Amino acid sequence: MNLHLNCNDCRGFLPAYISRTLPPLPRQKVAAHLDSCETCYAAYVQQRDIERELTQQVPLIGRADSPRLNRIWTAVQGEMACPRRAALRRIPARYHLVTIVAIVGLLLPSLGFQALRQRQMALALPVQPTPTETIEVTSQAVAMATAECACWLEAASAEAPEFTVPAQPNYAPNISGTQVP
Amino acid sequence: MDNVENIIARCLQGDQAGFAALYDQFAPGLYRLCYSLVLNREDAEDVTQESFVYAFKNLHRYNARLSAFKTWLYTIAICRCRNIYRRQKPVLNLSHFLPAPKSDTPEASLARVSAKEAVETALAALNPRLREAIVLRYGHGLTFREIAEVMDCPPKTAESRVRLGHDALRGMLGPAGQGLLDELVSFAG
Ligand SMILES: [Zn+2]
Repeated sequence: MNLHLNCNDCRGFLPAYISRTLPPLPRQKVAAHLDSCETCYAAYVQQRDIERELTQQVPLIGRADSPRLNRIWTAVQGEMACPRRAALRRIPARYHLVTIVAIVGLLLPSLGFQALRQRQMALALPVQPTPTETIEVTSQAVAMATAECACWLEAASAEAPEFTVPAQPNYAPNISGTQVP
Repeated sequence: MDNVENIIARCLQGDQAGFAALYDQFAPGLYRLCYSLVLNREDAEDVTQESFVYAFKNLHRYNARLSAFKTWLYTIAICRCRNIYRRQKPVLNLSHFLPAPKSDTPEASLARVSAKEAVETALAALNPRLREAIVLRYGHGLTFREIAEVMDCPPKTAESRVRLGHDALRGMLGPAGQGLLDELVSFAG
């Protein structure tokens, strides 16, 4: 049996050799090469150590304690029970602010027009409207517009499509690509 | 213990306890996956929550013959994690590497870095696709075929991503990577 293997092939087999997924014959060849080649052996030791470190350390990253998992569960239940309100709550506050600013921006020209008309009327009529009246109109209009916007946002978020997830691949039959040589 | 298919069948019949059973079984792993990918707790919590809500509402779409429930759930979560790191890069947590007060030399402060923290920092520096492959492989023990399914790529691509990630991490964490850690220390200090 010829156990000869060149350095290049040996390096290529190392990951499978380390994860013990290499079939017996190439495994024997790699082992024989590592016994005789210093540089490949050094590469093997390095790869093996990092493999060990990743296998030990990566599962330790991001472990959640019970209070955290309980908190997430409560939120899941809340959203299952009342999805629309939860969806609205998820829209960041800055978007609410932007919408309000936009609505105020839309209202201002019409208010300006109203003010102009009032001034024209003031020229014709002896009685001038008090400024408080205008302010009341403004704040009321903004409040109404805001309420309308909240409803619209709620409707929009309720209609918004959920994230799309790629369709489940049907890999059950005959995919042979994953077999390590 | 009930198997997952039985629990799902109960859920589809409206059994609320079934949802809790699914959550108990899969939440620790899913949160860990999300945290390892987005590398901060708030986003990991949000993504875990959203993924469960989506999965529960779309449970009727899950087909057990096409994939395991775990990989289906991971597929849902990874889409959301990608949205997060598309918006913001994971922040390298350099606090592990900050020089210790006074007499401590950089070497001494490096020695205080735990292996877990070093791996976490190295993961943050990794390309997101390679990070996904490494986390699914080493953090969750998925096969290349399962990784391919979750990452929506051919199995060969999944395999090469694990290898590339492995090589990159070896560069950062191996003996030669000491220089890189030193660089991080001087950068943070
Ligand atoms: Zn060699």
